[in-house]
Amino acid sequence: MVRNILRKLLHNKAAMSGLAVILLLVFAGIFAERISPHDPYKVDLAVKLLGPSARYPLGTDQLGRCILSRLIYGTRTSLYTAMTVTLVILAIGVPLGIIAGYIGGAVDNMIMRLADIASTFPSSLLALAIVGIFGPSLYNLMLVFIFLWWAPFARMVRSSVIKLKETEFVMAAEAAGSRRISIILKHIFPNTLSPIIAYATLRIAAVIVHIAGFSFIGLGSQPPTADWGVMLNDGRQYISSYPMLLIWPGLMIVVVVLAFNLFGEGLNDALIPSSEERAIVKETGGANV
Amino acid sequence: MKRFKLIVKRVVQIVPILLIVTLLAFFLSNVSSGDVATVTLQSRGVQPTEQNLAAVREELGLNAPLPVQYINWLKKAVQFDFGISFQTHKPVSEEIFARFPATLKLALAATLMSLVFSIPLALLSARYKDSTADHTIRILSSVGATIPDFWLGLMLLYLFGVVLKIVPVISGSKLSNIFLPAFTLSVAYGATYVRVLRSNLIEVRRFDYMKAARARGLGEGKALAKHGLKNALLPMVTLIGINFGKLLSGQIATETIFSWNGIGKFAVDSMKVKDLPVIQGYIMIVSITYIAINLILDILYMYIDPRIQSD
Repeated sequence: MVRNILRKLLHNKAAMSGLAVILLLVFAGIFAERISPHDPYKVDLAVKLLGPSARYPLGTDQLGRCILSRLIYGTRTSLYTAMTVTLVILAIGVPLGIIAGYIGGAVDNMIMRLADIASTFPSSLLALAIVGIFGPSLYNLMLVFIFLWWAPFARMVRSSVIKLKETEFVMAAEAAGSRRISIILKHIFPNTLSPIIAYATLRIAAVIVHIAGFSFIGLGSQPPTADWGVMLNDGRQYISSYPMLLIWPGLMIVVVVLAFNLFGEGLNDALIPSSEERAIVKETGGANV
Repeated sequence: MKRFKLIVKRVVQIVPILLIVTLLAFFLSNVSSGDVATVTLQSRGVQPTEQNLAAVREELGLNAPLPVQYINWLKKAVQFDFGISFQTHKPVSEEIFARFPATLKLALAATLMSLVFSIPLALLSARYKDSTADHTIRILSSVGATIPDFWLGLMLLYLFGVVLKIVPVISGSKLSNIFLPAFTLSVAYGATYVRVLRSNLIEVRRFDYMKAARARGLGEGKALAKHGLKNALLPMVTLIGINFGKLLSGQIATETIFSWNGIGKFAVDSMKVKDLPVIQGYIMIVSITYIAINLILDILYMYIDPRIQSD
């Protein structure tokens, strides 16, 4: 089973190239200090807005900071926030989905109503509200997506749990008098994983785009943080004179998102046999902020 | 009867959402940075002192317990009274409604554009499934769904504003300048529509009425466009409607990039100067619009697809 999935995944060129890019970027994020040619925060107006050179491979920004170094540190900001948000969403959504599906009744109803609210609430509204109340920061922005995006995971897990409850091995375990918690851990939880792993990978891409977008309009990371969204916002006034300030951070966002999408869809194809369920996972919507 | 019950159920489901939205908006003025009385005084250009602070607290009803304040606030909110903007010194709802037409125009243009280019592409893709054209369209739609609107907008502005000099870099919300922001927004939605419509069309090809159309001598492409399209579009009504609702809530990034004076740009500009009454009003007005659109879509869909009744 596992070998089959791996073989399918390894033969998927698009997914593998996505994974290669992801690993490269994770590596760059972890070793940012070692591989960055300069300090991403060192302001030196004497060298501002330079073109590419041996000293500054991608040139410098309006404050004379090394663009390449800022992009590398931006990888860290972006991947760290996206992965943290996704993990927290999983930590909330998966247990709630299991509880809703396994217990059913009023509890199920309440959790699903909450999920309905979370999934219809526009993220820009909650972002404005939370940032208005607590002030603009990356952490407050992360809260927005944690509050809203656990819902699809709860829904997916719930529907697999409901299917699993009817299977012979779960009924046998129940009849044998196993404790609920051990049934859930042994039989239910492992079998809900396939679809959510694929979906979580796709969600990382969505979190990256949204956080960068909100940082771009000033509701997330604040200057001088090395963040792609902040870099885009800084570069906006130089659109006619130094467009490279806008092109680099945007390219980084697109490359990362594409990599996670390719790998996520590859995982999806490898992990989920029926094309019907696959389609549900792929329904990720547009990337507009 | 069943349909009526279902509608009532949907309406009841709105109550908790409204409660959350109103509480959020209410707490925005109470908990957020700085004391409301001080902020209000400063916005009037008065130096806060012990005496006038006490007077303003009394005037704004800030001495009442929180639940009472909330009820008082709600009473005003249902009349669209969200106070005076700190920035422009005009009533908030007036300011928001003045900017709403710009956002509405942009939302309509973006929706229209996304359909105009996604329908022919999806038809082509479904008609010649697995051909080079199909593969190209599928790759294009993947890329289209990946590019964030804020970056696409910046790049288009650079290309058409700076390199080709066809449009002004700072455009403002004149109707003649709607093309670029609308196109920017339509790409991500259009890309999704191409994917959904393509798979719906391929699904639909197997049905009897398509066989009948072919039997009558209609070519495959014509049969698909004439009979298949309508049936393939129907399940997309909700998706298009929900996206329209999102567009109406003001596309903050795109409006900002193209200096389009809609409600999204207004909200974010107000956030930068901590103009809280505006943020409050924006949250209330937008969420009510959004909830209303979703409700209408739900009801509409019950009539389009009678199977929904057996929910």
